[in-house]
Amino acid sequence: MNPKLSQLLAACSVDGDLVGRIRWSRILILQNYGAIPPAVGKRGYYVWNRGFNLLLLGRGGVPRYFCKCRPAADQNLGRETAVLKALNRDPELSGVAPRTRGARSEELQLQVSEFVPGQAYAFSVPRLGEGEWAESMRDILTVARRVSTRAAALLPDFMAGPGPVVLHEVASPALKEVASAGLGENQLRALDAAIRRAGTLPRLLQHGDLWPANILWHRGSWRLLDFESFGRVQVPLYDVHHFVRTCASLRGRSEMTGGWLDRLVSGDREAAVCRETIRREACELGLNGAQALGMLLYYLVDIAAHFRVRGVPRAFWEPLVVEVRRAADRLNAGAPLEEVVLGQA
Amino acid sequence: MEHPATSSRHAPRDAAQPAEPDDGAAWTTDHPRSNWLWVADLTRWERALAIHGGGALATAWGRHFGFVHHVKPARAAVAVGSVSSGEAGTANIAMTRASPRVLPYRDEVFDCVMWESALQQWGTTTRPAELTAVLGEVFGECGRVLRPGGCLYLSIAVAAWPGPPVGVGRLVAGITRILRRVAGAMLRGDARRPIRARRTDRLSLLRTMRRLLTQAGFTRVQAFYLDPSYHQPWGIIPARRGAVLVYERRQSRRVGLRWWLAWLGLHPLLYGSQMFLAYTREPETQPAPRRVQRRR
Repeated sequence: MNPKLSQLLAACSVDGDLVGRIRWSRILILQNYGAIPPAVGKRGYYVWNRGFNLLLLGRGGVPRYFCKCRPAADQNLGRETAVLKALNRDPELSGVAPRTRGARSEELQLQVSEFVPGQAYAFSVPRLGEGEWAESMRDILTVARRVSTRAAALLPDFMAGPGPVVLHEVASPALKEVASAGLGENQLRALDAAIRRAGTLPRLLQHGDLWPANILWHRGSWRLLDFESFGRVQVPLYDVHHFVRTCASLRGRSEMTGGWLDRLVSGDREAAVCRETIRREACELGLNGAQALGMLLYYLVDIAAHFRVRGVPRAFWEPLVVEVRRAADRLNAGAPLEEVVLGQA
Repeated sequence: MEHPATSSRHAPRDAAQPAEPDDGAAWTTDHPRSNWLWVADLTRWERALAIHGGGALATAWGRHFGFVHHVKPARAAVAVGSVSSGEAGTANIAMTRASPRVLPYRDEVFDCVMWESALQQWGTTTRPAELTAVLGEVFGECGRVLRPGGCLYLSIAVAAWPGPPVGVGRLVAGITRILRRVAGAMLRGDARRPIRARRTDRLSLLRTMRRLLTQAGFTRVQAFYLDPSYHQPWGIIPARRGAVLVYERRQSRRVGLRWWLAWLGLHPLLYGSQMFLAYTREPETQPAPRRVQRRR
């Protein structure tokens, strides 16, 4: 193994088993998406800062450690390591997050976590019956809410401010970014007005990338993975909207066309499950319909803007911008989105 | 085969290969091809030789090594030149035209020799026996220019190995043939007889390359699979049954045919590209750096 990587692994060793030479046949490179060092040395969460992951096998070929390797310029790995450490130390959440250590050199950041076994929810979600699906979504969102609530105490430095979030203020940069992708003036006005109607919301740290591939089922409990974006968003329901949309997308029926909003407002039975899930979570958090709709719009705008800002190719963010445009057009057409999307809350 | 992404924000990347925006112009699929260097057991990073690589890939090598010499095929007569890596600004890349069978460098000057798509030049036009002879020559040359403890990196598209491609029908036919051969060999009591290079299928490639590299003087040979290909090595898996089983288990919810093939030891059939890291004998003492000079 490369001595530079070897040194970092030794620095992350918890039980001393990463000190010394690791046999080549016990190292797998996974999700090898970006070179280290990257071609572009920009700081932040850019697409070219994705690096790769390592899976280290222990005795008998059993996975022992999962390691994330990122360029030194990536700003998210250190943040995730801090989150995982804090969650793992908490007796209530130690089962949700694995034991983790981190180290860095001039060109490489490393995070070593104990391997979390389990079945990815992404594999099972397309095959679940409607009732099982609804139940599993409720359980997972309960775990996510528990993490978000506890994290406020465990990671006080992550909170951007003490008070509630003014939604239109946090949405403003994302709206500007999406506007530069070609949104019309009247579309922007409609979105801004709906987001303003949401007013202020309680501050709640969000996972930021809660989707089925980041959720594992192991020995009767749900575990969450990939906290790289944790706390970037601090408005409630963001995770809920992201999770429900991505779940529905994995269960996508071939006859369903159009964007997420089209699906959500359709008469499909699965759409009803999605709406009910969102409505219930909004109630749990004490949010009204206008706030929940404002959050849905903010989510759509933010994710489109985030894709653009990360520097990913146009084909990836353009469908999301189209989704935002459709939502704005629905608002301008006077569609009762609040009621249709969330039902009679 | 399913390839779950680590993040939903990343998932669309797996679905399409779109044009890049201006902002992300540097993000190409070439770049992760250099990440195998993080598992290579190299102690020195001064000079590397890249055979038949170029462009963005040469630049990627240049970010790891102090200087990269780049050898292109000798067909076109172009003067030896030197270009700056430009993009990375971490190293210079010198280019020359030569045949890899006669590398124009002194002995023991490089820390690493990299040969991507190693069979591309000859694989489809040369008979297996001739190809193994050519490879033997090139490996010998690579071993000569490598310092003690240096590393030769090879990536090979299995389809470039002369012989029938392995499609679904051929896969089944191939397995049947292999099982019949194994049964026949066991009945004759000579199951341990090495498979010759002439048996042109994926199973023989791994073994043949190991043999050729060992014959060329490399003391340690490590074989890996690249999934889905060496162009996009999203997974780099040691060519060992245990590692392949772990990898395959992560790719799919259920134990399927691929897992069973791996369990049976037929994992070379599963992947489109293979990678080899071959090391020269370790130095007894650390040598002083030598100047790179063309051999007359």
